[in-house]
Amino acid sequence: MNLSLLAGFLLRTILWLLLCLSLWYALAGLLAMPVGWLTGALAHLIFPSWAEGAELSGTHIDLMTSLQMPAQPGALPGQVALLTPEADYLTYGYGLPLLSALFLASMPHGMVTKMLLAALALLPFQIVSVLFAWLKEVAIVAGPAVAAQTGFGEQSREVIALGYQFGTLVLPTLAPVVLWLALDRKLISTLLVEAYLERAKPDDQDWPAGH
Amino acid sequence: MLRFFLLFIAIQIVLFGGELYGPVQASLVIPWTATLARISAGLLQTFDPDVHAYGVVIQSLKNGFGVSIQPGCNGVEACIILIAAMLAFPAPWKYKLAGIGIGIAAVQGVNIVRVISLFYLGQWNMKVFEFAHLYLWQALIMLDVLVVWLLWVRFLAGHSLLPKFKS
Repeated sequence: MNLSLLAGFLLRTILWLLLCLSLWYALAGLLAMPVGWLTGALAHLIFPSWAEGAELSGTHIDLMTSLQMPAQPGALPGQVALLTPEADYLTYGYGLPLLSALFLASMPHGMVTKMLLAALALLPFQIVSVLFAWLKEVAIVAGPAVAAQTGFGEQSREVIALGYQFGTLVLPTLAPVVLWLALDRKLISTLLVEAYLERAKPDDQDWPAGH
Repeated sequence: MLRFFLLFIAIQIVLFGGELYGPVQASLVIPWTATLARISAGLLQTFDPDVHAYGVVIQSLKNGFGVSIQPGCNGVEACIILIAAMLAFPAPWKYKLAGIGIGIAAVQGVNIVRVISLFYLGQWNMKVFEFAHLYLWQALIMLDVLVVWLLWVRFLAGHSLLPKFKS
C-alpha cells in the first residue's frame, strides 16, 4: 500500500503545527479578546440577572457576576465578595493552530478564504467551552450558597458537568478537525481515488518487460 | 455526509456521557489509566530502573518527579472520537469492529509515547512540559485519530467496501 500521500500530509501537519502553535501562543492575548467579549455578552444574554460581562487579563477571561460568595474568615462587617469565575483562553483556544496546520498541510483551493471561514466557525465552539468552564465554577465549584442564587437544579448541574468535560477534553481538538473535513475534501478524495486505482492496477509481474 | 456527522455527534455524546458515569469510571476508566501507568513504567524500566508506577502515577525514585495520568491524558476521549467516527461511517460491521480494535491500539500506542515523553520533559523543563502537555500532545493525539480514521477509510475504498454517496 502506498502511504506516501498520507505520510506526507501527516509530516507537513506536524511541522506546521509546531510553527502555528508557537505563533498562536505568542498572539494568544490578542486572540483571546473576541472569545472573551463574545462569551461575556452571551453569558449576560442568557443569565441577565447575575452575569455582567467579561474582563480580560492576558489570556485569562473573567466573568463579572453579581453572585455573592459566603463571608470569608477575616472579612470586615458589611464586606461582600463577588464571584468572578475565570477561564484561560489557552485551554480552549489551541484548536486554532491545529486548524491552521491542517489547512496549510493540505493546501486546498482557496485556502485563505477557507481558513478564515473555519477560524470564524471555530469561535462558537471556543465560546461554548469557556461558557461551560464559567458555569462549572458557578454551579458546582462555588458551593451551594452560590448555586442557590442562580437557581441551577441537580439536572442543570449534571448538564453543566458534562458540557464542561466535553468543552475541555473533546471540543478544542475535535472542532478544528471536523471543520477542516467539512471545508476541504481534497485529501480524502485523493486518498480514495488512489486506493481505487491501486486495486484496479494489475500486479507488477503481469506487466510486459520494459514497462 | 450529513447523516455521518449527526450520527458521529450522537454516538460521541452517548459514549462520552457513559465514560463520565461513576460505575464506568470505577470499572473501566480508572483501571485502564492505572494499566497505562504500569505499561509506561514497564517500558521505562527497560532503560531506567528508577521508575515506578503506583495507581495512575509514574514516578522517578531518583529525583522524586512524578506524573499523574488524569482524564484527557489516558487516551480514552481520543478513542471515543475514533469509535464514534468508525461506527457512524457506513461500512460492514466486521470492518468497523476490526478498525476500532486496531485503531484503539494505535491511539493508545501513541498515547504511551506521549506519557513517556512528558515524564522526561517534566524532569528537564517545566515550561516545555506544560506547552507539550496542554497543547502540542493534545493536538498530536487528535491528529493520530484523524490519520487512523483516514487509513481505515482508505482501506475500505481499496477493498470496494465503501457505499456510493449521493452527491
